[in-house]
Amino acid sequence: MLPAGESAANGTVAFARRLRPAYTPRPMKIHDTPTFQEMLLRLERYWSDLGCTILQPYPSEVGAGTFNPATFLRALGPEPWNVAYVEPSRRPKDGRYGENPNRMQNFYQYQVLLKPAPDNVLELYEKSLVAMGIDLKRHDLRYVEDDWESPTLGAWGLGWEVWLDGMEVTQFTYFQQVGSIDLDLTSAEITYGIERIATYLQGVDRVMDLQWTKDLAWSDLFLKSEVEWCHYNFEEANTEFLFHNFGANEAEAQRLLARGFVAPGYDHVIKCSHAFNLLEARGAISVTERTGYIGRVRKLARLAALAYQEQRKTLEWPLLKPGPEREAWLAKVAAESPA
Amino acid sequence: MTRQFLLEIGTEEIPAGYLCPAGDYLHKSITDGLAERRLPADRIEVHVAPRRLIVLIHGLADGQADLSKEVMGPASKAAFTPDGALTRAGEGFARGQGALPSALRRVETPKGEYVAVTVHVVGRPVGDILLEWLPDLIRTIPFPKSMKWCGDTLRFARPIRWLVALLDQEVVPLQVGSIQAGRTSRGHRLVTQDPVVIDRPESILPALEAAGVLADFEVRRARVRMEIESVAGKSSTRIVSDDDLVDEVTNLVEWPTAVIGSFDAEYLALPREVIITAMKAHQRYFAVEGLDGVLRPNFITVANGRWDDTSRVVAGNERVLRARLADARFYWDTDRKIGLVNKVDELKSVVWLEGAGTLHDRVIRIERMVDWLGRNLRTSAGHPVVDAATLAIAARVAHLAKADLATDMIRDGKEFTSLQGIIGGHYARIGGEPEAVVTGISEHYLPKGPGDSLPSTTPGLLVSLADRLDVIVGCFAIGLIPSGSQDPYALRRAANGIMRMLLEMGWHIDLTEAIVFGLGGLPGTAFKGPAESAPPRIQEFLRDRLDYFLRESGQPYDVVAATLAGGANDPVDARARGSALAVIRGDADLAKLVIGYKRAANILKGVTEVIPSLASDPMSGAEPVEAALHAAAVEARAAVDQAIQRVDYPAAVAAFLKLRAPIDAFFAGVMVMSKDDAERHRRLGLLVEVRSIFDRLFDLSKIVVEG
Repeated sequence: MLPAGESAANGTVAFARRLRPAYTPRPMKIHDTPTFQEMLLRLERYWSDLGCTILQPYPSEVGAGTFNPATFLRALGPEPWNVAYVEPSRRPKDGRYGENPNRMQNFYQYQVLLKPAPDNVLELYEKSLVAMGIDLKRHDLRYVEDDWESPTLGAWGLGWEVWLDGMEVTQFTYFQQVGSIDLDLTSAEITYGIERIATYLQGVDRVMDLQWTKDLAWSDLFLKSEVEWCHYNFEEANTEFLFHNFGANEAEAQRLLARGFVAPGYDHVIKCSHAFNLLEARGAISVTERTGYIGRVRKLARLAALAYQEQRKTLEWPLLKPGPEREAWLAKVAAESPA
Repeated sequence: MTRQFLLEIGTEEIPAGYLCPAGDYLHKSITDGLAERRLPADRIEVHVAPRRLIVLIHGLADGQADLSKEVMGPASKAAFTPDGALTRAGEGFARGQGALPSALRRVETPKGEYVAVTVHVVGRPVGDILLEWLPDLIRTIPFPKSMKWCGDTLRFARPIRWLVALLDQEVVPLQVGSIQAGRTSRGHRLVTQDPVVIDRPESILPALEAAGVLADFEVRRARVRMEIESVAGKSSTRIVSDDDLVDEVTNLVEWPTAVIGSFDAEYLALPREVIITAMKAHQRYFAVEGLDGVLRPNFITVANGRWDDTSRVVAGNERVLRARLADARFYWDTDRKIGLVNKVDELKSVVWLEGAGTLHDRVIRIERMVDWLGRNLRTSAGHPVVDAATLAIAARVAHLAKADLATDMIRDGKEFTSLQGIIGGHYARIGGEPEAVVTGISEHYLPKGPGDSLPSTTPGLLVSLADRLDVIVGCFAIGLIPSGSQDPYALRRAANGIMRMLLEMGWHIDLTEAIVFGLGGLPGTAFKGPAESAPPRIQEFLRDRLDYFLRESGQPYDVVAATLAGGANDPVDARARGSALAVIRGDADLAKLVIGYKRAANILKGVTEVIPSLASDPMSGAEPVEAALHAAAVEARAAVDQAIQRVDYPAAVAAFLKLRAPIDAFFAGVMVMSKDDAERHRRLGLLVEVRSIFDRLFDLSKIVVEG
């Protein structure tokens, strides 16, 4: 917790200023229908211009952008952090062999984490839609209650699913806990379902029909592999191998985290989670067992979160800029440590 | 002079379900708080909309009236020394009240002499009071879930982004967390980005309306209704009425605009409930039917804003619904290909509750219980409730009732979970099951709540009863027992359903036997704790439910207690006994009888020796009052026997009342605990005899007698 309420409130304002709220997206032609990659570039440009760090996907299978350490770990502690990145997300159970218009086992999220959440965060978000090419004046934009929770990550928050003409285009969450730990600063997590937004912008009904570039559609690029992955997830995956994988990764994560190796330790937590997702898609885990497996991953996630917090404290929060805020945190650590 | 006051708490979108309760809380706490602070007001208005909570106080007093009040201090003995000087305690009291020591008076009270002082409180201006009070009030508005959004301790449903606080034209500079009140509000997100400046309290609603916000819930709801009805009317259709949805939608928008869209008519091949649920559960769309009641391939949605051209909004919503209906049809087609009967076996792989087996085990237990109920349920005339043909149908229903839990529609399509049973019914029909089986499957989850209807057919009722009994015995066996407000498996609701069905149908059953039979279907490994402890706990649990139902039906609580102490195994029988006793509850004779009964019971309770049963000619040598009571008891017993046989409880209680006079005479005429062994044994034996007549039906000692 922050040492004093007042300095925290001031701190919020100070961090918020790091984003550049005055930025206005470039005007867009109304009938401009961007390709998928163009749309992504516009989002990247928008958040980059606002001052976010633009990162790349995490190089291991994750179920959502939240798993990326750039969100899961960085949301912890008092250091400000503004980041945006694309995250290819694997949800083995959601595969439909490419037959459902908008359900795939591998899809893309665009993930933004603003820590702490600036006061005008919703306006910033709305401008990002404009930047992508959505003329908000002609649409129905709604924030509908949806309290997000990830039982495997021990993370939850309050927020909304954002509706554009009834379609859920974004999950917006004010994080309250991550790794089962109360947060020092409230982050805003903005997760765009970019394929859905793209189908909308391009006026097509199916993700498979999206123009990735002017010449290539989603189906040209991914349909074959999507179908293959579905066969793998539902029918082919070797469950014995996966169960072994789960256990081995769990042990490795515990060992590494106990020794303070946060990054590789957390990497094995992610691998554990993915093994679990595959086993579930494969129907190898019963409803009752399910809770147990989720609990095991959550425990690991908590270990990783605690190890990360400890590590940042030891490093004296390098991303916390010099100033009264930083002094207050250091003083708190000094007060806690035995004389 | 009176003032007008405005408070607007401006937020990000608060969940629809939170708004009205928050508004009610504000109304009440402002009303109470003003009274407590001696600030009269003419009228308090509260308005709620997704991004704001508004309080308007009309005719608010300019300030508190001055007040003179008497404050009591310590006892005189403590405040003054014997020679009349002030003690430290006395001085402290005077100082604490801001009074001169000379102002202290001695007052006589029932507790002795105390010191007192008259304190004059100067009323404070209303603005100062509001400034101090309202920040705390804002922080204490309760929400089902609240959040932090900046570093401090402030919590609210969603972030507060602005505050408007005006006393007439003046800003009241409230501060909540880092937010400072001013006069600038905000309009509808997409209608205007300009600040909405409020010059005085009364102008807020018109100013917001101009900025695209209907802040008044009632006005907004009326507009929602008008919009959806007019849109439906234009296409000669009507809304499938849904008041809850109207309320929810009203709190999802600041400016309602209804639009109608359509979907491919081929989706109408899906069951009506599936289509309606697909539209409502996620999208909050209204279903549309023709004047003939047949669903149309249309939907109406209430959008948030004002547009000249809604074509894009419609197109977007149509696209979303198409995907949802495509999902539903995917489930529908897959499930139909497999068939409901084949889903029964799949239940083997679905664990119900750890220890209590799979859903397939449940099916077997429900089948078993249905069979038992069929053989044991009786009408009041003693006839079986179910004939062989009906029981055969019920057995089929029991076999198929849970199969839809393994279908894709229910298992994967989370929004369709609420259609369990109904979906099973549809698949059963497709599979060629007779209509009676279809109906039984569809309705076996009824009644879902206190206001819900019961299954309309006997097979539906039997399976519903068996299902609930199995849930209760299963949960109790594995230790999932409700306590206090904790009832995660809704066992109370299940038991209430059982009581309602038995009572409304007038079906007799011995619940204890049913429990024992039900527990017998569970594997020995299921039991957490000793198996023999389960039946009494379940009995007690069911008895509490029955107690609740009988009291709800208007029987006095002590009558219910007396009745259930006389037996709670058969709810219909208990109700009949209770209502016979309730009829004479106000009778003076009953009160006297109860006193006599309690006296007898108390005497018997104090007896330590073994009371021999009465001799064959019990009253030889007895006093006349003894003989008279004995004769009356013999007569009453015969009458009660007969009444019980005919299930005529009013006759039984009438026979009770006839014992009143002989009992009173007995107690007046003889001393029970005589020194003479023979006398004492005879009299005690007689009391045992008399009491047993009542105890067959009631425990009369539970009846409360005044005075």
